[in-house]
Amino acid sequence: MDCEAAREHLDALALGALDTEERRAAEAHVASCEACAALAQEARETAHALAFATPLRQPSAALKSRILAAAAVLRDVREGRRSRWWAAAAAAAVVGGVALAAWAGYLQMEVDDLNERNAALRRDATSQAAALAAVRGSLGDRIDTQSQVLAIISHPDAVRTEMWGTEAAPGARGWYVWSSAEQLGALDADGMPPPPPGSAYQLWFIYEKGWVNAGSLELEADGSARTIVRRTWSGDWGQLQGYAVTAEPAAGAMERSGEPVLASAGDW
Amino acid sequence: MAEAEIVDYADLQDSELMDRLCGRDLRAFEALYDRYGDLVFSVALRVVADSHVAEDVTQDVFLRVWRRPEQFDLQRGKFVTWLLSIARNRSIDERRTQGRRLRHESQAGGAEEEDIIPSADDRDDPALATVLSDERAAVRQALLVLPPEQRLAISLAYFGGMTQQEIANRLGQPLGTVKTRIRLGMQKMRAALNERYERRGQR
Repeated sequence: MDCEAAREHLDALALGALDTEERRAAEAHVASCEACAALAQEARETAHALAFATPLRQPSAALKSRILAAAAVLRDVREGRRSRWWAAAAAAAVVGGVALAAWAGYLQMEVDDLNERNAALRRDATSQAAALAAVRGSLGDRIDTQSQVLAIISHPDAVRTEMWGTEAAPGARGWYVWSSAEQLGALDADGMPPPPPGSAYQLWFIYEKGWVNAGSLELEADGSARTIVRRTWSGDWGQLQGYAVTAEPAAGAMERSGEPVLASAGDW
Repeated sequence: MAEAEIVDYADLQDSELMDRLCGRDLRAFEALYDRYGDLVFSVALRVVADSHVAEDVTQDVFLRVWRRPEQFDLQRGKFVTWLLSIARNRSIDERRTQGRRLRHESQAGGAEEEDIIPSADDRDDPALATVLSDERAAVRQALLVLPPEQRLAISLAYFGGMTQQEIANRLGQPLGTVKTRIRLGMQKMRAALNERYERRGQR
């Protein structure tokens, strides 16, 4: 396509009214010709004046919080931050349980993003395939954990329990959220000291009739820790009285041996 | 440090906000939403004619901007043009999906034809006071100088997502006639817009 032919098409191109073949030819010319590119830009600005002049209508007030919460989630996942985003998500959940919709949209975008990266990587050498698999794996794990946490904290029946550090860890703070409808819980803590060598932190459910192991915590270098709890135990343990974190042998313990480092308030 | 805290984001130019977006500044993002959220929603609503769908589109558009602020290139035009092109394209995709689904249920898809054509009756929701209103009123005036058949052809393309050939089929007019209407209409709009910008000392 030469300049003359391209210029015939620029208005329709800007309006999105060319068929695929014409569009490709026109775009190819515009990409290689500065003068036509300037005219194409002018045509675009004219075309989008149509949108600019559209009579204004108001979206629902919840839309803004939904979008901002999703943006906060997106930023923190990108940066590998794992503790602060859910404050935003929790706030949005309070606003109207909209966080899940935002989350669904977000997940879709991450998938799109991976596909984009995938396409880019395919153009490179095949050795890149391993890098892609690694990215996909780590992202997948992270999304999996975070989407579960989000499902828990935005569930209407979710109950949040504050947890405080004991004398062994006076700087520790945390909370535990449990949704009985989802049968899922999540713990988030900060200020945890490194556990003694060879041991790891473990979360316990404290019942009238005993302590039940609810899994080990993922401890980060910055002293934050978290875990997802899926209730797998059954039996009559009596009334639930609280939650506690102890240091146990790194292999995991079914019987508690350590003293609580972080615990909910209560009489137990 | 104190200086960084007293920045009033509402006073920043679009391009300055976009620079901050590249640094993952959530407040800059919020300022852009406050400035253009209603507009993006309104464009989507005009195209898809369903406020729930239009909200989903709006969310996609803004999150895309948030994820990929570096894709905006000031050299290639104004921010609002870029944003609206994303909004328009995303809305048209949705309208097509909707159209396929509704045709399946034997109903018309998307907004009705007459609803997508800019008209003298277009008014902003009175609850929305916007800094853009003067400029937008001027652009709307420029649209209204077009003869109706040119406005129709342009609107079917832009808001209806139709190609020139599809417009010709829909209107029962030769393809050449539709192409001419689009070119003449765009020329007139361009002239009217340039005149207004020059008069206002912009550009």
